[in-house]
Amino acid sequence: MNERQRIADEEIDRFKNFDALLKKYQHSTTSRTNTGINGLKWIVSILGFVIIGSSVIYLTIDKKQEIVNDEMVKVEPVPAEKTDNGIVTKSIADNEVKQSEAQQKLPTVQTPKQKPTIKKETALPAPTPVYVQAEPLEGYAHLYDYFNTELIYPVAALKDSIQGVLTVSFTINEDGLPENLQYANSLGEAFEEEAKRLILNMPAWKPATLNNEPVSSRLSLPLTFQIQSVKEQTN
Amino acid sequence: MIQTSKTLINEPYLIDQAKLNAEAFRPLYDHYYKTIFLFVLHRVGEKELCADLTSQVFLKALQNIKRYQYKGLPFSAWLYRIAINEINDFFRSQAKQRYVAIEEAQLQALHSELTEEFSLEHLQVRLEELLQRLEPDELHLLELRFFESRPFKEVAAILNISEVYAKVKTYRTLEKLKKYFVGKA
Repeated sequence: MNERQRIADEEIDRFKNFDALLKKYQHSTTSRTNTGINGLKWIVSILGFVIIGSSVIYLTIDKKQEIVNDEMVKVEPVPAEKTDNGIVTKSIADNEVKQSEAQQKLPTVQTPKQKPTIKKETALPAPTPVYVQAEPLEGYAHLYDYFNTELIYPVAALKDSIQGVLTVSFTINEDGLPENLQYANSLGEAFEEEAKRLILNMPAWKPATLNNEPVSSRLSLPLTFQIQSVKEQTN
Repeated sequence: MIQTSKTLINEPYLIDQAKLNAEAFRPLYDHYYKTIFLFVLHRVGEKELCADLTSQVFLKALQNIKRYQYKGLPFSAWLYRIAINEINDFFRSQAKQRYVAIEEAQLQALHSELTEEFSLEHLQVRLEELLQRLEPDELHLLELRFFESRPFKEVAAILNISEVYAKVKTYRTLEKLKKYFVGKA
């Protein structure tokens, strides 16, 4: 058993390093993607082997069957051997022709089965447009500090003890200004007025960009209105 | 008298943003870093090691945030759960000594739950030996509920069990401790 260690906030802050964390994350996602691609290559290769292998087995069986069939054909004229050797010779010649035909069939069967594998490996990714989300100019930390300090519970609604989350959605236009406010899960007009005041006076935003061109974007923000327990109020 | 929620005011929004862009995870990291750091420190005891594990917790959180679903519980409960898994993994792979941090008042509370027959000093002397006899999940439960005074709802969310089961398991853990303490005193 140990007593709780006392540690100053400044000391904890010294260990904080989000940029290093982000680098690790980006590195891990790149490794994962590579692993995924390598995995896919293995699967494709194995699939290729299986297809080629099964084609070879199929053709071998097919060839054997043809030989057996030919032998059966050849067997039929056996009684004739007694009378004419030429018939046997002719049958062997036929058999050789059929075998060479089977060998000629081999590449024509294999080629279409291999094609999808080649297509997958050579397919190029389509170019994607670069979209960057809108973000507060001074960062999210500053923005939520603003909401924490500025949000005021409407006094008019206090008697009804209304609590909850009001979701306000708005557009950040090309100039980085909020407009077109809409409310979901409304708690009442007083709360909407407060949300409107907050949104219209919030710190400036950097608009979203599409290929480096500013574009408007729609965002939604839940605002929590809460009163402390009735017990504490009465105390 | 009037206050806003103690959690991040726009937490669900920030989480949604972080799902789209890892950079947007920064405010969540800034907000919860100290909480998670202290949570880990009280279980591993060494600051450098704690910093490594805390960094690992946030890396796992960032890697899995797309799977996170907001169900009304604070985001911290999810982070605590990741932290517990990291701590368990660490102690499984390294034969290090487990660290349990307790305040005097919390020890008194545990003492009153266990017995009045033996003194608080007696419990203090034997506590290390008693805690060593618990399973890792029982120790986590005891720490969360008694040494950190967390509500059962949060304990259940962190340990990924139901609230009812958290209560039952706490009761069983206390009974087990009591048996060892009274039986062998």
